[in-house]
Amino acid sequence: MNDRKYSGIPGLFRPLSLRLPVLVLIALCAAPDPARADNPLNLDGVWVTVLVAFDDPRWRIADLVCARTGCSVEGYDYLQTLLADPENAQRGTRELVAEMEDYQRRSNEQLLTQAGRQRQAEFDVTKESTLDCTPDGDDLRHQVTAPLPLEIEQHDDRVILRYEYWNAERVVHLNLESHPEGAEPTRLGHSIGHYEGRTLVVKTAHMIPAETGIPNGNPLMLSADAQAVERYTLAEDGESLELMLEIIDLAIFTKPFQSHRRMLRMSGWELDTFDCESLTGVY
Amino acid sequence: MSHMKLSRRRNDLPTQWVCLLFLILGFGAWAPLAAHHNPASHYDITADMVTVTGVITEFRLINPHARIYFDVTSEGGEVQNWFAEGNAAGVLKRRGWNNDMLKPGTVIKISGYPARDGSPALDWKLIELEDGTQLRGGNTVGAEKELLLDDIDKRRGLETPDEPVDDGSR
Repeated sequence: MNDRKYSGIPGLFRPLSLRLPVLVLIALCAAPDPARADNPLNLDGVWVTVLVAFDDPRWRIADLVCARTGCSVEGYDYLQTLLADPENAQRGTRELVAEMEDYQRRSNEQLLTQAGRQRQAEFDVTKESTLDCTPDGDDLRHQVTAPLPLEIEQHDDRVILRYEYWNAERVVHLNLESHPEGAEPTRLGHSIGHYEGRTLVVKTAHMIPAETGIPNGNPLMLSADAQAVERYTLAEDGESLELMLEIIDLAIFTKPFQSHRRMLRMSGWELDTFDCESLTGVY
Repeated sequence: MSHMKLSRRRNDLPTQWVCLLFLILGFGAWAPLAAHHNPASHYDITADMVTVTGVITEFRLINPHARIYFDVTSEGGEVQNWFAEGNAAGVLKRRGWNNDMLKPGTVIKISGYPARDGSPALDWKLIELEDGTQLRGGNTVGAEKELLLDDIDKRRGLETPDEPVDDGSR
């Protein structure tokens, strides 16, 4: 076979002896990164909330409603059901939201233990005032449900959650099965994680006690033993991420306290610097 | 992303010094507090909203909450320095806000929740310019929620009681 007669023909169409190396090279390039080979979830990228991308058509109505006030998982699902019912098509959103909030309120009636109710009664919002601009992040619940974008970076042994809010960064250790004993508490705690199908599960402990709000209820302070479980589930189309956050605090809650957020993938977006200026002392 | 990392490194040193200073001064007990700035701690979000008209002296598109400083002149000619607090700069910028939107000298009518301590400060809900332009950009959940629900009705194809303000900042 004279190769010169194929000189004007693209390589792939040349004889097998010449095509083989090219095909092998293409196959190698197309193969998944060995580090990701056992991880079908691609969460890498920037994810945003309703509050910075309100007009995106990918939002559900329930996402828009729950963006500002937050909803429990039960409340979000209940509202979804109301909105899906054709009989509610002409009912105003206020009316539907009021019905959902009433449902949430009843669901939360049994949420608090006796000690939790006492803490809620004792909570003084005027004493909560504080602010600093350190990159340590906010308390976990505020941090993960904040309106500003989140960037996820997956590695073989860890996942980095990088937040525009407070320039905070968390490392989720995929290679640890438990939290280190006696670790110094921090605002965002210590996180370990694993994958369950299309879900990244993140468990966090060793958090500095923080205030938490409850939908339709007064805030209260969590205890030092509080733990959190975040479940980030990727939609089939890879375009949205559903977060279910559970706060487990046996001293305060009779069952895990849950919140819901949905985020959208935003190609081409980057985190901005969180230029922060402390207000402490102004008042 | 590199600019963000540089910024963090730049902040590391002052942060360490501040922590050290707290330890030296015995203020370690402050550490458990969160960075969160809850508007309800400064503003009475259950009170009736207050509306004042004034002239902007400074607008700061900053995190965690943007700020407007403005002067309000009483009928007797006395000038009082006011201050209003809104949403995070990170949110507002992505909704099209910039530092030139509210220039010094601009007259605004501004509504919001009053400060708990009676000082001339607001958690703003709505800003109206002299030409009738209305801006939102507020931070408080309750205030924004009503406007947001109007927008959602519109998206669902339902009529809303009033034409919603549409500066994009929810």
